[in-house]
Amino acid sequence: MNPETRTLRVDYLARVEGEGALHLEIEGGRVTRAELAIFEPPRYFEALLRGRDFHEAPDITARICGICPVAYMMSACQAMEDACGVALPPAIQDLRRVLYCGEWIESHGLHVHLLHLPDFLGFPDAVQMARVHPEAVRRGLRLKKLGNALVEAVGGRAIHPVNVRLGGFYRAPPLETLQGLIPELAWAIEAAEETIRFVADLDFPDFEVDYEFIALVHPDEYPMNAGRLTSSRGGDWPVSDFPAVLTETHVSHSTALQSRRPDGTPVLMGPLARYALNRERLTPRARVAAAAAGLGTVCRNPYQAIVVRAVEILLACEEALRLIKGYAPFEPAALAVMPRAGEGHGATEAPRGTLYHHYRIAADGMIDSARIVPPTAVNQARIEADLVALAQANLDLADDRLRALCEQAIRSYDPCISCATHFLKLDVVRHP
Amino acid sequence: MKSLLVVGLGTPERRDDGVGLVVVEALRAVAPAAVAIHLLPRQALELLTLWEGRRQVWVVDAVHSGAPPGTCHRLQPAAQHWPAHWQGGSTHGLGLAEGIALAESLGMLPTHLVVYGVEGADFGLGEGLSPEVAAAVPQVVSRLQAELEEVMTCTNQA
Repeated sequence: MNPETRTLRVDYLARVEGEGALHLEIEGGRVTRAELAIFEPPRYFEALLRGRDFHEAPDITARICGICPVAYMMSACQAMEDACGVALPPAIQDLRRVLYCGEWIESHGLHVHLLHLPDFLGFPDAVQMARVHPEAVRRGLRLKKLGNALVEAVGGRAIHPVNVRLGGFYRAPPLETLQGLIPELAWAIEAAEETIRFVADLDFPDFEVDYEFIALVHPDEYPMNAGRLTSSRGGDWPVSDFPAVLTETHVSHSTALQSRRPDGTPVLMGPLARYALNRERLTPRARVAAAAAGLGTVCRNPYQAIVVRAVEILLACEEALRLIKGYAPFEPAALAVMPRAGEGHGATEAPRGTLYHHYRIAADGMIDSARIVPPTAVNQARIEADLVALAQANLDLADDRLRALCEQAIRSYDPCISCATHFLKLDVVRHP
Repeated sequence: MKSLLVVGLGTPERRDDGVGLVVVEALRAVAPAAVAIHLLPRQALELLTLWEGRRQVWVVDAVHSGAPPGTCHRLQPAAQHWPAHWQGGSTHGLGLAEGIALAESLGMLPTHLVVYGVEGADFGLGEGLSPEVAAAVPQVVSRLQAELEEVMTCTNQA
């Protein structure tokens, strides 16, 4: 066999949310193509929403993802409230932030400790890793449980919350329900710091990318539910400019649409982007922990996203604790949202990046059109470009090492392929 | 905390994959009061933190092994080999098999753990059980109920 002609194949990529495939083409010692393919039939949610009542959008879109239903609910609510001209009082906004903190803690807690960490410590999965590093896995499970408990306390249910409605909540949770979580949050803050120290010392592959980051930026807080769309290369826009900032194109190898800047530049959303654009709005404690972990002002190494996620767990625990300490049940639990003909935009920071919703509704509240752009669909083009560069720089590696490096890189972005798509298969073809 | 726990697992949007939830929901009405009943739709991993500190645990989930639909398998993972073909096929979320393996690694496996695996027929998108699986639910519930009552009688006599 010609040593320059090799075929690598991974039947599916584990430890990502959903399923997809990667196809690498290598010709004459040069990586010519990396395609992140998505096999799931196009999601029909946008079509499904047409003709439904505007009140149904949060609950219907929450079903797109079992990992980040809160993000879907929040972006949908915000878009409908925008369409109907409703501005929420601080108490409702604060409670929504607590809910969002729960989702970050749950999603990041699982990804950092059980899905991503095994890569760095040289284990095939969390089960094997748990024999040697039981304390890290236990910490991850306990953090995830706390995230679930927060979502359940505010949202009424851990996976697909039932207490969220346009304009607010069906009811404000009882004081003692939220206060009951204070001791566990106090533990979680220490635990998150422990995790930050643990992941800071991992051995990160030497790989940096000059990213254009896109994330929400809010003047007063690390962004979850609010902010202006902002680029690290300059420029900030209202959320309603999203379609002009990122344009969607269909590519033949994927059923998810790919988003890029109008000049064709792929962008990165998610923890690295939020951190680069919002570091100074971290809590003081999280900022200190990030600096001690060696993060600097910008982190351009996708593998180090595990450190940023750990920092965001700390931030979310601190924010939830602060907001719960200041919480008092309120009435009414929601503002009335009366339909009017028009359109609305919503964008919030899902664990994986900015999630955008756009709706047009009729005067009676019937949905005329819906558009949803999940962060993984935006990151897809960026991931492909990074994999070309990564594979090119590591062509001398044996097949199994190169495959492991690519898989680990893909997991760094924590792609929620089930939102954008399904099933990751890695396939490397080397031509002479 | 109640020391006996029954947990139903599954994904109700995948038809027969939700049978564990249906069985445990039905059991709720007839189970002895001393038994804690929990449903964990789509979140097998929560088992580990849920069963911490419990003495005896039963888990009901759907399985796909090639047996006739509705067949009820009873397994004690700590005592016997887990059938290889029961390993989860999921590339994301962790399934029951991975949850049990993880618990074993962490020393978090309950000393008495029984798994009821109900053979499904249709794991396609959609809600509701297929007729042959739905027909098997009452039998699985009675079998589990009988086992719980027996365990409680033995415990009380001991």
